[in-house]
Amino acid sequence: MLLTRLAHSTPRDVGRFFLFGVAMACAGTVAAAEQPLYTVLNPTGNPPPIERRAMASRPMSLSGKTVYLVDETFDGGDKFLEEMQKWMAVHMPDVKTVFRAKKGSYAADDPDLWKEIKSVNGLMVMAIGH
Amino acid sequence: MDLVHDKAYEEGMPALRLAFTHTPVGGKTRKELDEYIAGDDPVNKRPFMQEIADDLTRPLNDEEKKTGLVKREKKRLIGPDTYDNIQRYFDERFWTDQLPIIMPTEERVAAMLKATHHRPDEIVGKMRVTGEREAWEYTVETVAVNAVMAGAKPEMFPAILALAASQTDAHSSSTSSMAAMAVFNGKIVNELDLNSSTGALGLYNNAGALVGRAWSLLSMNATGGSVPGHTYEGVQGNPMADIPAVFAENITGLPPGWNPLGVQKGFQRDDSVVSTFDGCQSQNTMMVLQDEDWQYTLARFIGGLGSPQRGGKLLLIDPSVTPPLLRFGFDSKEKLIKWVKENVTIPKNHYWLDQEVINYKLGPARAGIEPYASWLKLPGDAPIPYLNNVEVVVVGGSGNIRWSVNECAYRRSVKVDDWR
Repeated sequence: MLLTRLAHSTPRDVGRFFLFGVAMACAGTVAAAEQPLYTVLNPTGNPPPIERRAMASRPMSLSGKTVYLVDETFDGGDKFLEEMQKWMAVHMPDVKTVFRAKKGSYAADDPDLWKEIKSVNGLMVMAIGH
Repeated sequence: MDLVHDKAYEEGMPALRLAFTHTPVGGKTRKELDEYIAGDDPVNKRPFMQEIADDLTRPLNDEEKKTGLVKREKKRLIGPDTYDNIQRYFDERFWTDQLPIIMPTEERVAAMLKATHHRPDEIVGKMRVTGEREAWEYTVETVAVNAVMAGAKPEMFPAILALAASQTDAHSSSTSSMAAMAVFNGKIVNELDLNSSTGALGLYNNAGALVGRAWSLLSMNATGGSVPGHTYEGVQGNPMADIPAVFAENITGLPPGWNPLGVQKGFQRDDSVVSTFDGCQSQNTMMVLQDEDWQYTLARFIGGLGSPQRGGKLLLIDPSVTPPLLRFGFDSKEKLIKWVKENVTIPKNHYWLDQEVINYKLGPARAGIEPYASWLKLPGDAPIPYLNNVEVVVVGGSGNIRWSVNECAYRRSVKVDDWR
């Protein structure tokens, strides 16, 4: 702001603004110097390390492939995936789709389902609700 | 959106391919869902189904192929800087409750640590913002830092450590906006002058407010954060979560045969014990039960609160309410709890139409987990006794015949004496 004012002022005004700016800067420095400074401890806990996982490799195309549409039983995801399956039957007829509801609660693992998908070299789209 | 990216990162998959649909999905008609599917991803701004097809077939890039361990370090000390700048630094990171804190200097934290024989670097426990997020560890020192920030005094520190050791998060990130409560029994009540009488659940007690605030700050900071959109998703928030209710049971108000909560949980009468409750979302209050219809009213009063998916209820009973309860045959807390569990029910058809039940119990039922698997096979109007976590605590100043049922679930009891 100080620089903008200088650009639009007369030489006499420039001098007044300059002195005013210096005075304000000195006052700020004195005020900051009077305030005590604190070194404090970090209040956060300790996060666990993260093991990075590579993504699964992709096929060149979906033609002839099986795509599993997996519902985790949360907030209407089943209806959404059923409609997706209908859309794909019309627009992607060379892709086989299989609808599955994952076993257990929404966050539970379902190793039997993953094994089934792998056994047919399938792909998966999971509807994650929240 | 931030939440799903954060979760993918925590699971080691920061490059996970994500497509987003409009929300909400629940409650929408099939036609509305078709429009979502045929339309664009509102986040990535691409045709939704084309994006799905691309994500399933596009070759992996170098980032997506990466493996290895990622360690996340933190600075132990922050500063030196002015009070205002440190306050702002903490507020911006949601390390505070957005209220002024006491600066947790090394001197103040050292003074707090003198109130326990436990080492500063000792791990007290782990907490996570929801059951599905990563668990963060915290030390005795971390608890002390948050206790200082809250304004707690060193004599309160063992009580705060016991709360930390309960590993009960007072700031769950659930979209249902939950809160927590803590009840103290034993000698610690008089040592800290904890309130068990008029206004006990409110801020009418210095020790309760400060211990509660320390628990709140620790729950925000030691769990991975409490940042809206990332590690706090409460849709509306919860006024009971600002500072959790921390109070004492009214021991002199217990009728004969009713044991203190600490004794019910296996401790001695004089042991200093804290018992935690979480999942607190709502409260129902009423006056005295009438002899003519107490069964109907009691069942309605308790059953009308919250989703049947949540099996936890905490009855907070003023001493003035206990004489009629004794007259009805409840000469122990256990008899009252048993009656509530058996008589507060919901018809099977209505149970399985509740969205929370569908979200959390239908999957387990289909997987054969009891009792949900059997409940799924019941006739349509069969009563389902869904309450499995009911506790009774006597508290209040008997200014009038009032009591409350709270939608809270008991978690655990911890001996404060172990943390002196």
